[in-house]
Amino acid sequence: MRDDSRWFTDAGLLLEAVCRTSTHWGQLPEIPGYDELVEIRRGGQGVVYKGRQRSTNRTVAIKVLLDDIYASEASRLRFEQEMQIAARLRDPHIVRIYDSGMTSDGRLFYAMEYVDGVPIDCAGLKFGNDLKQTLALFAKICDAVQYAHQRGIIHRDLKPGNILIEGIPVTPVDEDSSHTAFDLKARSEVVHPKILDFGLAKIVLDEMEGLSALTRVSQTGQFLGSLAFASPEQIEGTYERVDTRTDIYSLGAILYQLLTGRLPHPVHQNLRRTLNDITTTAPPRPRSLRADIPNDVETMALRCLAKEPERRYQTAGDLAADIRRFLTGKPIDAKRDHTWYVLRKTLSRRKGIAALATMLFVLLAGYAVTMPLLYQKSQEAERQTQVLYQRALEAERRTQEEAEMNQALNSFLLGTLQKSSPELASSRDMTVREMLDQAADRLHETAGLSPPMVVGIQRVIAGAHGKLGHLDTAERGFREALERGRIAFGSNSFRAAALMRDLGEVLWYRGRLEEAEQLLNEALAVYEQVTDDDILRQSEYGLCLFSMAHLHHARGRPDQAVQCYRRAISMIDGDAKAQRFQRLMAKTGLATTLFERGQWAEAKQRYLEALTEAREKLGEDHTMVATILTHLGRYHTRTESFEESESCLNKALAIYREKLDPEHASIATVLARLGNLKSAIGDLESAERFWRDAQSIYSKSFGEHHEKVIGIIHNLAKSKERRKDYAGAVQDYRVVLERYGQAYGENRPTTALIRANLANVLAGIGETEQAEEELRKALATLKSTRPENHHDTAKTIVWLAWILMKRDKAADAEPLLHQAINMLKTTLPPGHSWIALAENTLGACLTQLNRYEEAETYLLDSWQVIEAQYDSTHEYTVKALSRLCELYDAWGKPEEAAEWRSYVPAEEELESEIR
Amino acid sequence: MSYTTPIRLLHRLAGDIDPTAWAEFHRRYLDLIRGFAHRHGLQPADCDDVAQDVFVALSQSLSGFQYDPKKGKFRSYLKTLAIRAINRKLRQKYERRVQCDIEDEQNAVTCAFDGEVWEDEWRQYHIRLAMGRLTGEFNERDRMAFTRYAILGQSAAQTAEALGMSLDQVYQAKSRILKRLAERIAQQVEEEG
Repeated sequence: MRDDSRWFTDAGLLLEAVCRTSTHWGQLPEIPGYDELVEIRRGGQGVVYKGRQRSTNRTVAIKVLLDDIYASEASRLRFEQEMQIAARLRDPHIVRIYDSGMTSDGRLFYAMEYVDGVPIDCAGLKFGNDLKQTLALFAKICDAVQYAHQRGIIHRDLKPGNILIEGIPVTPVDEDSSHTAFDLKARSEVVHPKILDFGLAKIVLDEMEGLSALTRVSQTGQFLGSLAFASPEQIEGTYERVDTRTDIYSLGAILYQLLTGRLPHPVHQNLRRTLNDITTTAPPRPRSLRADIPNDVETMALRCLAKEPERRYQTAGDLAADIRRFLTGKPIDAKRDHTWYVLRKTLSRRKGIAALATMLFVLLAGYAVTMPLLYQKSQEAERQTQVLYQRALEAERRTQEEAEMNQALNSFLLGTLQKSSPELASSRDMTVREMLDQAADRLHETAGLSPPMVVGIQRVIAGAHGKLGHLDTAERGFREALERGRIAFGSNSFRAAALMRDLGEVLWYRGRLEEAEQLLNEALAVYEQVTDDDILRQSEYGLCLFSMAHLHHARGRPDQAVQCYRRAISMIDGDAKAQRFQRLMAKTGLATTLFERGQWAEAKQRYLEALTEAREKLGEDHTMVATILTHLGRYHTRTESFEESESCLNKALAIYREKLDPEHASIATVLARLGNLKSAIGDLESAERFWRDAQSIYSKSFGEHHEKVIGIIHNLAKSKERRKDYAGAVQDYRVVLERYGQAYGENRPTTALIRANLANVLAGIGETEQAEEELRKALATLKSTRPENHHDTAKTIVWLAWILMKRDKAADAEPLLHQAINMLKTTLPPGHSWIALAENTLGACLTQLNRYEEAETYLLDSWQVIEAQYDSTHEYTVKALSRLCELYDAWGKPEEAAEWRSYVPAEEELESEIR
Repeated sequence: MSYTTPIRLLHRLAGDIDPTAWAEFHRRYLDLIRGFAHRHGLQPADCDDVAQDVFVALSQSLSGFQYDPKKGKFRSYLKTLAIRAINRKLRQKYERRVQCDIEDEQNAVTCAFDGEVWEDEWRQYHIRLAMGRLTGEFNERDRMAFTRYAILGQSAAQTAEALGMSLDQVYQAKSRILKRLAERIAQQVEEEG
């Protein structure tokens, strides 16, 4: 490799590199109406340029947003609207927005007042210099925030970087301490704060509504620094709670930093802990950090930083007023609870349809008490009032319908009971199943029931069968109901759609995914006609989407599943009345899909949201809580937070054991997850015990051939393999193979993978002949089920070759290895470790064939890659080394062999590596 | 404008809480890590995850962090973190899941890391940093001339005409800027340790 550590000294090389670099010099955007652009700042959302507005000849700052921030036409439209609102702000301490539009390459931009200032935390403001001047300046910032709040605009992203101080000479940021002293007093006349991006964070944040703080952080490119200024409600992602008081929190965090030189919550440790701190832990009292901070000032800062918005200052004006009271020596107002708090407390106790009246009450009372302050809230309330009104009307209509249906059902079921009473009086009790069967029989005999009623009753009966696990009867019932429904209401009716969903779900449970999908698609097509204001139907639509999401998930289409879950949640959310359970299920399902797709942070956030909601609404020991805890436990196992995992799973187990039958499948699920956890931390004995317990319950509930049972035996096999109980492992693998084949068919990639695992163990105990046989079967399966050149196939070929080498059939192995390497090279990037591993095996093969020179090339080349990719004690590294030693030994080059042997890690090092 | 060297920046990160240091660090290295991840075939959203992962890893390794130049270059350290993060991401993406609830921890996928790619991204990073720092040193016209003539490959005559400069001025703008760039980068590389 050429030495180009001095690449920049050669003008030609440098220029070549410059041309390949996407720098602002090379890629200035073309912005209609502006020129003389110079990049001044680059952030996660976009790039800020200084430029000239041609029409006015004024200097402006232009922020060009990243092109992927606004994907849809709708969000672009919203950008324009928000921009127009923000442009209305005219305050000397708020940076003016002049203009917005699109660059010629289609990115959104906005032009604003150019401020020649430095961020407040770099401005050298420090408590020690002059507290009063600092506070006076801070009060000006509060005034500006208040001005915007009164116009209904919330900042949502107040942080030091968004508050520029004008009139301060640019002081270099000291590299060892973060601030330099600055004599504020001498310059207080000319120092102005200027707030940037007022109302604009909303646009970006709205795009990410519902995402976790972690995801938001990565998507906006903000990092820990600005996270510290986000309010608990923002961290929690509860956007409906974001209002003017969110900004108060951020102001408090800024004040805290100005006072103490520290952030309220340290952010450079564990990110998860940071987030947790912001939402749950009180910041250290400023006076504990600096004893000379006046008591009142501390109180003001802490009041802003209250976790509950109700406990904070309710307006920036209140905060400014208190600061000024302090500055003029008057008592501050910080300790009084605000009317809004009291009001909210009262209101939150009311529920249901009464919410309509409550909302009106909020509107009226709110106008009188807090209108100018909570403008945003009242707009929201107005919208909600309309929603509630619509809902009330719809509910009334539905209630009437439902009442009729219920009456019919009641009299029908009562009739069934009466009819069966002789049997009830007889020697044995009648089972629910028998009663349902009787009801079904009676349904056919009863004359005078209208078709909708028959369908309704059939649906109830089928639903009851479904719940009891009589899936075949349920399927038959729903199918019949659907057929009748299609005739009675038409296939394109919502009622038919509901039946399609019912039937689809049963089919899904029965593993007939394709049929289920067909029905759900049909139902969804019907639901697409639902109008936005038909909230109850929206909710049904949501449930249908929820079923579809489940199905996508089961069929391995996570992207579509996530999309469906999200839509489902938004629709079910509209209907606050019912469906809490489904909503929670949808949230949990979404989290699981996200998790399996690798979006861990968001998944966790979703789990936690669901958990909180379930605990609040359903109670601490509800089984739903246990279900979510089970998922969360699995999440923690995978993310290696083992203690949390164990705690979640144990809590879930306790709840289930108290509430459920001891042999309920849910208990088995928790036990299985506990097994996984123990396995992950290397406690294999406990793992196997948990798994066996789970297996016994699953077998009773689902039968020996259920995928869950097979999965657990597979886990047991792997565990035994790890414990070196090879005989046990082989036995278990064989059971898995047999049952899996019976349940799903022989010719599936999974079968092949299990066979490969089995072969691995067989080879380990010297049963190479059997291993070869299994691998050849696996290979045949993979070739017919996987796409050509699939890496699984290639890896299995390498494996087979390796077995052949063990059986002294190196000549047979060689062509296989060449084939596998070619396959890997067509699908993987050059230099991939799998290619290197295959080439390494080929090297060993060539050693066996006494073709030492060729072997050396392969072994040395692949060694470089393997060494770079794996730890020195990794089995691949050790194997690659020992193969080199073998080569040189066989080749009669003992010196080389000795040198390579010196690289082989000592036994004790290897031992410590193995868990 | 003063320039904080990566090592000093690390000390600031590791020391007392310093949000500006984080912001600066993030601003500086985000594109680098994203670019590196992108060139290993990751999608933009995954690249963001990788960057996030690197920063979190860095923040976690920083408590009590003492950067020791003897142990290796900062560049290599960051590269190691980036490679680990990319590998983790790839593993997540490729993780083969057996259809039943088998928790299969095997078959981790790792990607081949071409040292050249990192070096190239690193150079681009230095160029971006240097150009940012040089912005104030040259007037708009010179920078435009450099952009058009040296980067976009317009002819010197076209550039001169469009910007109202003489041919000599265009040539000089190019050579002066390149020279300063080289100096800046040399300084940066040296400070980097």
